[in-house]
Amino acid sequence: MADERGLAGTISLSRSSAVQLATAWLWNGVASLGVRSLVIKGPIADELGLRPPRASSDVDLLVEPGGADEVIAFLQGAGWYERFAPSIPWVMEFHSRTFIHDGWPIDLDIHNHWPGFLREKGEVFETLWARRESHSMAGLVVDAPDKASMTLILALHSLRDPEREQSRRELPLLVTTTLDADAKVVSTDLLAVATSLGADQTAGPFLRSLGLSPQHDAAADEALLRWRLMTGSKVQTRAWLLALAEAPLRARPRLLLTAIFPPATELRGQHPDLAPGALGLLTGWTRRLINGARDFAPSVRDILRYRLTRSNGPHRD
Amino acid sequence: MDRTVIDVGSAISRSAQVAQVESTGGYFLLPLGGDSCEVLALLGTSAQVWRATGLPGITVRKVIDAVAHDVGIAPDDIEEDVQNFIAALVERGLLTVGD
Repeated sequence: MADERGLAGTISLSRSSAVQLATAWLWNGVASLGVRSLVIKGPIADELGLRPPRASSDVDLLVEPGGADEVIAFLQGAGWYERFAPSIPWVMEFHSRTFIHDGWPIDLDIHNHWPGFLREKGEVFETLWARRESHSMAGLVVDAPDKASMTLILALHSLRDPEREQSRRELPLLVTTTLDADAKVVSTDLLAVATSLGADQTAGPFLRSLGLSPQHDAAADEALLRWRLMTGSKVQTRAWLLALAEAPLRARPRLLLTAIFPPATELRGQHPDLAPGALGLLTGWTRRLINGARDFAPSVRDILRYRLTRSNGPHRD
Repeated sequence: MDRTVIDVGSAISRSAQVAQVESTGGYFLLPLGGDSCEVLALLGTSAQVWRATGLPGITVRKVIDAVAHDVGIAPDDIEEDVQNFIAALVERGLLTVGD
């Protein structure tokens, strides 16, 4: 489909066009199932002026809690299948599944919640839903979060992995565009919305960059500690160490072995660039050991701090 | 398969169950509501037909005239082709016949 035979010649389906069509198709299909959903990021974020326009490579859809299984069955019925998902422990609950189709040049990401919104999932979705706005997409009307909510979604996306090059580039830009675009949103809405979604602390660095002063949210303490642990991690070391620390004693040796030497299919799934054969596997395991060793000491320190804080109650910013 | 001929006096309109994107030189259409997500690409004259169907209160006759005007030929020369193409779009659920 990336190079589609039309009724009068050949025409290429660009990613930009594919994202618009797939967004409309997906949102409409999910609505026909009776499941509520919101289109997040992508061209709507561009349209809201929250980032410079760019061609997205995927469609992101936030589905109401309990609706994801039905949506996934719908996608599978239309020929979409799940992209490789690594079998690794997660510091925070896994939040999305990615689907691809042999005829489409883009991915579909189905989110069952958005990391960094620490309130109860149902409460978060209802808040986002109550504030939703309509947007035109490929000739259809779809629902998306309002500007303040979308701003927080983008901010949390960057803050989830703040050291990533894309985050380092996009977060300051989001601060600038938010300040420039709409002072009213910044002064009145953003902090209130962040608090109602449980994002006043997770989005704290962003909010403070706007001159806002989030208060501590005691209800989100455990989830907030895990957020902080996750966002300090560049590799999987913290997640594996935390899983080891929380596993029963008898399960730890096997878990440790899997952490260091994952099965070949898992390793190749995570690193498709590895050369074929034994040499590729050896390279992958060696890289893994080096990266893990590099991150080991700070990871142990952070996990000890996390467990200590969790036992004693969280410290205040 | 024989296709139902749509009378040139019939009013037609785009279905609400179709996503569309205009691209350089054509359109991409994606029917909604089914379990398929196959994109149809329209180029050249077929794109001109689709463009004309976006006008309010359009009839098959007016589409034929508009396309004939655009391509600079007599309406009679393209009438049958346009009728067949419109019938194909109706079959795919992309156009509806009637007000």
